Amino acid sequence: MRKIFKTFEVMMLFLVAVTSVVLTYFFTNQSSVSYSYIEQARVQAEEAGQIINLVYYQTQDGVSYFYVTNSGDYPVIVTAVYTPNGPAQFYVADPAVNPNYQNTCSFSYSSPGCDAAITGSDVFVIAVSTQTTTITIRTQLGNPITISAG
Amino acid sequence: MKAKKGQISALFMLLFMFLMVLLIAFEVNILTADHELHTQYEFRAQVLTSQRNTQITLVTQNPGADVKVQNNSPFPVTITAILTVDDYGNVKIYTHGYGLPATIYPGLTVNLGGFPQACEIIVVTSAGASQILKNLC
Repeated sequence: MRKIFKTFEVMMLFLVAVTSVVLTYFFTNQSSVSYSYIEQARVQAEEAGQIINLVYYQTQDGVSYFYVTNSGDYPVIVTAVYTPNGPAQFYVADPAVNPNYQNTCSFSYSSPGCDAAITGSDVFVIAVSTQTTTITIRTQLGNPITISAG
Repeated sequence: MKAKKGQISALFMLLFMFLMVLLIAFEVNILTADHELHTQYEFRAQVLTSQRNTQITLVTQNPGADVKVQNNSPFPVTITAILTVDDYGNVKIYTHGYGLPATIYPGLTVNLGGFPQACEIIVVTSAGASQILKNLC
């Protein structure tokens, strides 16, 4: 009986030692890689859930209007808009909520002048203060999404 | 001495259990993130496929007349928004009313009613596909 207990104790000690080594490996050498993998997977999942489609394009008085929808299930928060000539001033508006967006939303380089996120089934407007048929929006996650009316 | 040995064993057991819990939590985190990623990729593929295969025909007799949408796709299509553009370039977006959102089953036609006079009418589906009818004025 005592021998069995001893054997069990040795086995336990061995298991603890092995587990400690494995965990130490994971939480030290590998930890940054593993955690960044989890983070990367989450960001990639969010990016995959952002599906922006252009439904109508219009240019009026030097302003380009991109009417878009997000068919995905993650909101798209636009933090910057780039044209082929560089960064451009923009605003994002939801005409269903604010039909008077052309008079009330303001252009800015970094923050959307009206609505923050493109979500749900509404049609949103991305207005860019220059005449262009192609824009690349940078989302809050940092991934670029190109919208082209060409 | 015996009591001390027992205490040490118990301590090792506790430590072992604690480490196992940590390891399981870590694995669960990885598996959850992996699952979420695969689910989102599948969802994206489904939406894009549906978008590519959506075939709708937009019909109206004359400006201001009823807008009829026929679904030629092999699956149901949901119309979520309608945009109208007048001759001054003013865009109006309809997301509620006019029977929206409207689900059209394969081969069927739905009458969305009469819209204010417009030069262009754009129909948008839930998958992000759109169809435009131009030169109406």
